[in-house]
This record gives sequence, structure tokens and C-alpha cells, in this order.
Amino acid sequence: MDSTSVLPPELLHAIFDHLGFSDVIRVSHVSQHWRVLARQHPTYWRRVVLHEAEDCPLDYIAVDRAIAQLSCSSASPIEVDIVRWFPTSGTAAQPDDVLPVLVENFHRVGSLTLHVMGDECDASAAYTQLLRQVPPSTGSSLSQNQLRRLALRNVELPEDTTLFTGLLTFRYVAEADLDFRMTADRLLAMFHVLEELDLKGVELETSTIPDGIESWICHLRYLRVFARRTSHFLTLASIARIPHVCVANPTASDAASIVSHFSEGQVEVELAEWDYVKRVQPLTIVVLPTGPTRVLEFMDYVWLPDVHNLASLSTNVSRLSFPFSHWDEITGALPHLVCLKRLVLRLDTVLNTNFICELRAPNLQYLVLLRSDDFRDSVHGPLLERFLDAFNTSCKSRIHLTLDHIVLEEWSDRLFDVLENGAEVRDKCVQVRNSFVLKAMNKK
Amino acid sequence: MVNLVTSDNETFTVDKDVAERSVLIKNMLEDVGESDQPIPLPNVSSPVLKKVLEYCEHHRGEPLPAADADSNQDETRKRSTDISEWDQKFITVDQEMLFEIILAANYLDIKPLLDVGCKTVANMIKGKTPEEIRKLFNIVNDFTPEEEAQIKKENEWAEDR
Repeated sequence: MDSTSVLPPELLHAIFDHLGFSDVIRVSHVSQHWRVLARQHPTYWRRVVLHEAEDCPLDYIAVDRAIAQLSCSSASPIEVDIVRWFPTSGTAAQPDDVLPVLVENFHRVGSLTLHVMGDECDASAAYTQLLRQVPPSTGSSLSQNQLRRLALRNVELPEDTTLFTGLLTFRYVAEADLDFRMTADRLLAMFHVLEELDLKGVELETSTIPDGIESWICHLRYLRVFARRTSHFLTLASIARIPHVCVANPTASDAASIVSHFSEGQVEVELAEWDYVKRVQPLTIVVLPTGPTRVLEFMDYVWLPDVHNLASLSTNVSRLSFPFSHWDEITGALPHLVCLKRLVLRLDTVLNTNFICELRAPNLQYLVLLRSDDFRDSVHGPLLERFLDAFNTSCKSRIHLTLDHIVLEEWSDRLFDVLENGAEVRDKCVQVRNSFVLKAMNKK
Repeated sequence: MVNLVTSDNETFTVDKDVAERSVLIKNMLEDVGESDQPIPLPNVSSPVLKKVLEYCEHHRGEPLPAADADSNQDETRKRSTDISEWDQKFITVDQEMLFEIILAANYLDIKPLLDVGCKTVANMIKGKTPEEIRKLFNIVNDFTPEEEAQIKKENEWAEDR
């Protein structure tokens, strides 16, 4: 019997009070009874999402729902996520109806994402100047200002900076020809308790860095700056104390000097595709020294062939993630990865190159194979089996294998043995098409 | 001293300031004035009251939360699911008892205890899939195929950003 059935609706609501949005949505998928209760809870309504695609304008239904959400969420803090395109194709609804309601409820907004996109994005003052329409709060104390997370794209900043006083996260992208100049002293004035700062396309006036900015920067938990004229801003010794720093577009010498802050001890390197809106694929290197965990990322597509920087790190790399297909461009330039213990690779990389001959990682222990979006074929068991054999002879210890989102067919008994003896299959992701193996797994 | 009588007719004799952690009992005592009359608690059984009184005993003397706490404080209280070490240990009981404590705390109007109970259940739910939640509380999935299809569509909402 349902053990929660003793609880009346108001007590289940009291429990839901302590859940976040995602959990309340999941709770609404448990049973009919819980669904009714979850949908009566303000948290269920509190994330307002209004996403427009370039070729798919907003419709009235989405707009009406957003307005309904703003009213149904009653007094609870709301998260608002709006993406608009200008110009829109076809006949757009009048989604500007949402804006007055949003401005009216702005004191409840805890998180705001507002992306204004498209060639004519600067033509829509209703959106780009939305923040300037918000009435100044009656006081600047934290308790009256709910806004903690702000992610803006092509939106002008308001004159009234009291909106920003409680911000923990600020992400800002500027592309359009609007007033985006941001001086360091303006940053200092705006943020009091900021933990994460992410700027892209913003001109930082580094010549006017005020005293005290170092002590301000070093209190951040996350810093990413993708902007011109930032090297002075970022090579300050203070960034060495930030747990997670991400630098885009560094010059080789800047990169080297930044690395020198981070590269002591064993290092984890992650070369990851960055799924940015324009689908550029910058290179990300995450450097994690042992001791207090710190992450350093470099993002730049053109940096990839410049393997000298990578080579300087690679002797003490303990963990390497490389979800690109052009692994062979880079392996030849790497010295022995003697400390490498964990390697994450895309499956097509592995099967299409003379990968194992080139890899010099005798101490490798963990291998994670991912399936990428453009490689959806299933993998033949015997091929994977030969691959694992080669791995096991080139490395000192037995490889612990993880298969992630990989479809396998034609399994053999021996591959099953391999998997049984120290490999991990993320069972929700791997589909096994051979019924024999399924039977064997059931037997186990 | 105050005498409390449970649904199964057991009498508990406790100090007034312990009993008054319950706003219900506090109001009753104020209404009846000085009197030796036992207070009947027909909605609470003796094992549950024993547990609830253990909580009240430990927290005696602490300031009671103001009835008209402003909404911001309320928000902070809701957001945090931290439970103090003693409370955590106290609330480590089987599911049946946990729900009984929540019901009793609600009936007796002991807000901090109600919070501890609700937070504990919330922590059990957090991060779990609907199927895991059903398993946890023995709930039957009674959705129609049409509802299941709608739910599938909603799944993307629940993704954490």
C-alpha cells in the first residue's frame, strides 16, 4: 500500500515546499494523485520558458502559458528563460504581452535568462532595454532583491545597478551594436556577492582597472572571459586562487603564463567540444592539480594544432578527455603519457585510427568510450574485442572499460567475459542486440 | 506539570515548558487556565507521542518561531534542506513512524518538528526518478497511455540546467 496515503494533501505540499523545480516535475510523474497535487504547487509553475527558434516564431499558446505561469506561481521566486529572434519568420504573435507581466513580477525573479538573437536584435527595444524598464527597488538590501542568476545576450544593462547587488551568477554575451562597454569599476560597483562571472564580446577597459580588483576577482568561484584585451585582466596572480578559470582565445605566451599558475602536481586535461550557439568547436583544456581542486580551461579552436602547450602539460596528465575525431593529429606530438590513468574518447576515433600504436600510456587504468552524435552505427562485438586485447597488452594493468551510449551487436562469449571481469556497462545507455548475450546477462 | 492522554489511553506527565513546544497544547493550557485536567490527544498514539516528547525535551527553552515570520525568512527556511545532527539522528526511523511524526507535528502544531519531517521526506525524493519514488513509497503507476505520452513530453522540463 502507498505509505504516503496517510498524509493529507496539505502535508504533501509541505514536503514539496522543500523541493526544487526539477524534483516537483518528477513528482508530478509518479501517479495521478501526486500529479494533481504537484500541479497545484507554486513550484510547478515557477520556471517560465519562452523559447523561440529562428524559423519557428512564438505562438499564442506558449505566450498564454507563460502569462498563466507568472500568475499561478503566486509569491514564490520564479525562473524566467526567454529566447527571442528578430526578425522572426511568418506572423508572430504578440509575445510582448509577456513583458509587462514580467516587469510587474520582476521582484520575484530569482533567475533570468534573456537572449535576444538574430540580425535585427538591436531593433527590439522592448527586449534589449527590458532591464531599464524595471522600476528601481525601494531599497537596495539583499532581502528585497531576489535576483541571483542573470544570463543576458544582447541586452542593455540598466543604469540602476541595485538589481545586481544580490547576483551570484552573471553571464553576458554582447554581439549587437548596443551600449555594452563595461569598465572594471562598473563591475566592481555592480556585484557584491558574485561567485560566477562569464563575459563574452564585452570590451573590458583594462586601462582603468581600479585598485582592489585583484582582491575582488580572487573571491570568484568561476571566471570565464571571452573578450578582447583581457590578458592583463586575467594574468593577474589573483586568478590562481579561483577554483575554475576559463580563458578563451589566449595568446601562446598568455596561455603559458596562466598554465604556470596551475600546472604543479598531477593534472587532469579535458579537451571538450563546447556546444556554443554558433557551433564553433573550441578546444577546452581543464587542468586540475592535486590538492585543492582547481580547473583551468582554455577554449580556442585554432589552438588545437599548437600542441607545444599541450605537450608541456602532458607528462603529468592523469586524466584526458578527448571527444574529437582528429585524435591522430595530436597523439604524435605528445610525449609519453606516463601518468595517464583515465582516458575518455569518442568511439569512432578509436576504431578509425591506429590509435593504440600511437598511444603511449602504460599506466592507463580506465577507458571510457562515448558515442558521438554523428556516429550512430552499432558496433560489432568482435571488433571491440580485438581492440580491448590490444589495449590489455600495451598497458600494465587491466583496463576498466565503460561504454556510454553505445549500441553493440554480435557479442561473443569472450567479450562477455571481458565485460564481466572489470568492465562497466551503463545499462541504460547500451543496447544489446544479441539475444544470446541477453540470456547470459539474465542468468547472471 | 501537564498530563497528556494519548489515543490508546496512556498518560504522559511532562514539564509545562516541554509540552508548550506544541502550540496546540500551549493554547489549550491558556484557555483552561490553571487546572489539573489531563489534555486528551485523540489523534496521537503513545509510541508517537513518546517520540515527539523526546524532540520537545531536547529543544526545550529554544525560542519558538514567530507566527508571523516574514516571507523572506520563510523562503530561506524552505530552500534549505539542512537538518541538524541531533535532529537527523532523531528522525532516523522507519517510514511509517516518519509519517506518523509528521502528522502529529502538524496536529500538535510544532512547526520546527514538522519542518524536520518534511525535509527528511523531501531529501528522500530529491534526485530520484518517478519510478524510484514509486518504489520508495510503494505507489502504483496509474497513468493511462495518453497521460504517459504527455509525461514523456514534459520530461525535458525536469532537466537541470
